[in-house]
Amino acid sequence: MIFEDFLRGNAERYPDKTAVVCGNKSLTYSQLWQGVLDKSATLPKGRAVVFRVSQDFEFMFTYFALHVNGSVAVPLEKDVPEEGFNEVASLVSDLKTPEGTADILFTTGTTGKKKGVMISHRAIIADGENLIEGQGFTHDTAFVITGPFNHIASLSKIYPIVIKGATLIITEGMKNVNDFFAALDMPFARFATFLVPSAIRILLQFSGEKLRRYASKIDFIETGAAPISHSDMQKLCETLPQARLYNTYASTETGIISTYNFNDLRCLEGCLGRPMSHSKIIITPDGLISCQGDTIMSGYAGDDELTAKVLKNNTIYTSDFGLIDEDGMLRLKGRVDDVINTGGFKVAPTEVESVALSMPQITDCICVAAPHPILSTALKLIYVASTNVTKKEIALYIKSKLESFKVPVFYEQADKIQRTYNGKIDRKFYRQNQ
Amino acid sequence: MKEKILSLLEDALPTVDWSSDFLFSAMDSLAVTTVLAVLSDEFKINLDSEDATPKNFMTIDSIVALVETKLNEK
Repeated sequence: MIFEDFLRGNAERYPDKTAVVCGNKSLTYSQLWQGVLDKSATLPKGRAVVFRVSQDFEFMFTYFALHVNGSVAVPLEKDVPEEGFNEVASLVSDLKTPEGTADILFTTGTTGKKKGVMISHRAIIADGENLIEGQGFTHDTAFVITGPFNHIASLSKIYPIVIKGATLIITEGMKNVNDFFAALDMPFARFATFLVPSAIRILLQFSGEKLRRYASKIDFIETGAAPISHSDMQKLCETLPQARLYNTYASTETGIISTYNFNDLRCLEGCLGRPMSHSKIIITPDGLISCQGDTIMSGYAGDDELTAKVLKNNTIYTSDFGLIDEDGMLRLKGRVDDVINTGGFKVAPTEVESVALSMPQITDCICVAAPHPILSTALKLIYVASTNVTKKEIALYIKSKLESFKVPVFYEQADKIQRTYNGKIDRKFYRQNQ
Repeated sequence: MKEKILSLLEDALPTVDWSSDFLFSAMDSLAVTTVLAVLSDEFKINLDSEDATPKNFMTIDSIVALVETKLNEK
């Protein structure tokens, strides 16, 4: 069985039901399925296909059509530089993927090297069923997509929507908040959305009163991908007292694991709920979260060595510290590695440093996490320069080599970078001093 | 006024090309929010997300005009 069997079934059962809305255009399930079949005739069969995502119908056609063709979808960030696109295309060109592989989603590893996470159709369906059970997606749900489709947080919402024959509303993101509210003005009864913590901060800070006016229309909001502050959780509960507000534990490697409705009068900080029916959580003796179940990845594309480090005996070993509380709920306690989570995107500081160091004027640097009023955590580059170089020149140089979310927000020139006695960058020193 | 706003925004968002005639399309949600936050803070004006329209954020001049309108409303 492939995930698109649900889509074909919906085209037969609910041909006139609105499947997707984008701007002022919409597609019924019948039209969506026909668009997928038309698209499939133009795409390759039985191989991995790399493409840049777009927030529109074209993405839906391409994504589903690749699966229908027995191909593997490899969606990349829309602004991924040509160099990065070609790197991925080359990595997957002759790749043999396990039977049943649907997607390869690329994330950043601790070294900055791209990791292609292979996800099966079985995992996709299990993710969808987990979300339906955990958050109450129904046939009447109208889910507003605000993030990019190459990220598991947004991509995974397609699954419960298609399984339930519900409606997806695609927006360009939270840049134009008016578009977000316009989506909530559409003639649907039960709205839901996923917002990264920084998007929730934007809404509360700049549109709190307006959001309150939509309270009766919002069935639920899910957040995740980065820790949300307790004060924002409380403000959101106060703004939307009747909505279910979920904090979810998920990652590209583990799939959707657990979720917690924090609008429960307790509003527990750092709580991520109980594992859903397709998932199991085990805390290792070192205090790290490990996950089992149908949602977990099949492995890293073309990297058996890295796969073996993370995936053993059908268990994913994460870099997140956590514990299970007395109510059986997961509590997150931080990360073991140097990866920085900024606005829901994970960035390896070494990747940013490596690019910055390739700029002739920069002789040494470190990329660190710094507090930010919207993102909570933003990237900061502390650098040593041999000649005059402006912040703008550094930022533009990094932007020409990496995706936008990897470009530091803050810059500080220093005389030297602190190193340990054996010459390594002293990350601990900078963590304690930011 | 324009020089002051330009200097503030160039410092906060160094990768944005402020001479563009299509500023809004060149920004992401963080950049738009940063503009709102920086200008609200500096000029003690009440800017909210609904002010961040493609029209108001089309050029640096339209951003300056937005700030001037808000200052006059104070």
